[in-house]
Amino acid sequence: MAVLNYKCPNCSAGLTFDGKTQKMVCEFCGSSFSVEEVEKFAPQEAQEESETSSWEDFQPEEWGKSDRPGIRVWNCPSCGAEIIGEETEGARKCPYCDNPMVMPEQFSGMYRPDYIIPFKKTKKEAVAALKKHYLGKPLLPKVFKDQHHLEEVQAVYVPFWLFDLEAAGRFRYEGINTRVYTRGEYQYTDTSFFNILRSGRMAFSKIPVDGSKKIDDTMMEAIEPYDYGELEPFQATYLSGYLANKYDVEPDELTGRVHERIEQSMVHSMRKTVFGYQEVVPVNRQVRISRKGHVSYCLLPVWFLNTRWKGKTYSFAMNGQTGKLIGDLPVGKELMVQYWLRWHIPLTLAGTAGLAALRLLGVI
Amino acid sequence: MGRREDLRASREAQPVLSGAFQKILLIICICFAVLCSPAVLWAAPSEGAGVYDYYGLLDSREEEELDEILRELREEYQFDGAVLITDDVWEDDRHYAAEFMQEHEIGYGREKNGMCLFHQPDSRSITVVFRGMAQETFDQEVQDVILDDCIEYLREDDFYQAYREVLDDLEKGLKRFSKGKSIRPMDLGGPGMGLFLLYSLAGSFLVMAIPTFGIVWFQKSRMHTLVPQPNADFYAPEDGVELDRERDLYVRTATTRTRIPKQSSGGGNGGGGGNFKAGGESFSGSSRKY
Repeated sequence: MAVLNYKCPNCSAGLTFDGKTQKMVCEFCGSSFSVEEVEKFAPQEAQEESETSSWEDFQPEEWGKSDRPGIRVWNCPSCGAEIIGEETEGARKCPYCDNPMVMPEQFSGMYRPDYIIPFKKTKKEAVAALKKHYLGKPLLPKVFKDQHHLEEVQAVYVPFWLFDLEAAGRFRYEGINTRVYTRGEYQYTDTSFFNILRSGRMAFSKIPVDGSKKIDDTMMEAIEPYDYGELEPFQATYLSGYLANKYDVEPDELTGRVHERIEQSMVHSMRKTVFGYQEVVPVNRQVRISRKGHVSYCLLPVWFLNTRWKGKTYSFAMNGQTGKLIGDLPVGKELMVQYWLRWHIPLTLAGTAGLAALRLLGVI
Repeated sequence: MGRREDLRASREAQPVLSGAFQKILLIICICFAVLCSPAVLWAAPSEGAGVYDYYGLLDSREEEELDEILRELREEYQFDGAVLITDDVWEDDRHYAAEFMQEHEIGYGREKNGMCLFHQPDSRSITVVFRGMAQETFDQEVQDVILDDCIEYLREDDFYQAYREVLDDLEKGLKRFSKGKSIRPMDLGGPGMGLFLLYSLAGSFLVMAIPTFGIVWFQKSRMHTLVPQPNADFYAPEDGVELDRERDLYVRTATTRTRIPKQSSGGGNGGGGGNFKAGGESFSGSSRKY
């Protein structure tokens, strides 16, 4: 099984993709090369896994298909170590020599991504963003900030399906206008009712849904949006130095959530076309995906940060392009009570003082 | 001769004695006048002040007690007060009370200050009317407090206590006024300042729980950022939906008509208050339904 290891032409150390400079960088000699330069000299570096053993009379056990559900064995092209990884893994670092490994066959054929957005945010920026995430949160226990430690910080290219779809919708509303006027001894209220119909279509471009079972879909939605202006045609070179997974969920399995989001957008946009009424009541709606559209496969950059506190893991994700970081934080119950009192007591005293002042002024 | 001299002597001495006597008499008269004049003038209340229970709502003991309070008010503050209880009069409450005061000369003493509390149990209406300087001293807000205080008892059919409440408020106001102070609503009904502060504290505690809840909820929601996208607006065209059909059809109009309630100028049965004229004189009063 072929494993790619982009090597520095100057010192032969592993090259990794640097998000900041958007170049392949050698951490040992400091040389840097553009992705195109590396692509020119790198393909010859692919190595085939050796089938022979160096020990006499020793026949190593082969991993049978039944022995390895969901796992795969790779050999590091730099140190030769045998590495057991997940079946969907497409890039990683050798745990022994820390050399970046790219498994191009994981992204070949039907698994070859159409696009990739390279990492722009570095590990340092991800950790800084997490610290910033803790700021201005009065309900966050101080000990969490002080005592927690980052268990892992991983940069992962997550497989996404990008859906191009067109939706058509037909919406009915009831519009109500009310006019109040006085004539003689009576007050009249005219309530006019209108039947409103809106029909139209909307084209959606590149709605992302993550194509990996093991990654939390909500988390991936929460770090949206990505700037598609920076979409690049896929090149394996971008994966060097990062983790990368290939998809394991087919796009057909994901259309439910896409349709749900499209319907909500239609509802929202169509409602904005109805104006001139004091009250608008939705009567019924029909939304259908007018044509199946186009799906493209893309790898998008995500930083995963896991931290542990009081035996519980707190996971955070950061958009590797825009730097948007999300993740739930623990709420200190005692802090919440203190915070409540910190506001409630002064507000109560202020209210009492206000009432007393009004009383003394004879207003109440 | 001797007798003639005695007569002369007595004639000469007489003017001396009568002059001194006159002076003494004059001083006594002046002192008497000074001492007695306020009593003569101030204690000249109209005879109309008192309780007029034409409805038969009070027993004789209650009537006597109220009469006694009114008499004390009259003696101490030279203020005429009357409590009038009747069947429905079917006319403006305040005007009726004012005319009653004129007829019975309530508030026509030296100070010309008076009040009539007019109660119609059948129509569940209570009215208070002031005349003279009392119109300004017991202004509209104060009258409202007086009525508020007694209405609680009227609703419980505790009529005697309701009248007592009005007379207590009246006494509190007069006491304050006699010290040269103006009467504020807080000086009459309702709790004292200490109790008011306690109520305010409890009320503020409850009310301020609402904004506090909002603030804490906002901070708690900031801890939860793992939320899915509500829609796909990021991936829609900026100009939104491309409409191919747009129709707004008028269906119908429903009209409802409501009679505008008349503003009662006399402040009669519907409740109300303010200054008004009756029999060419100015009065001030408030009326309430309970």
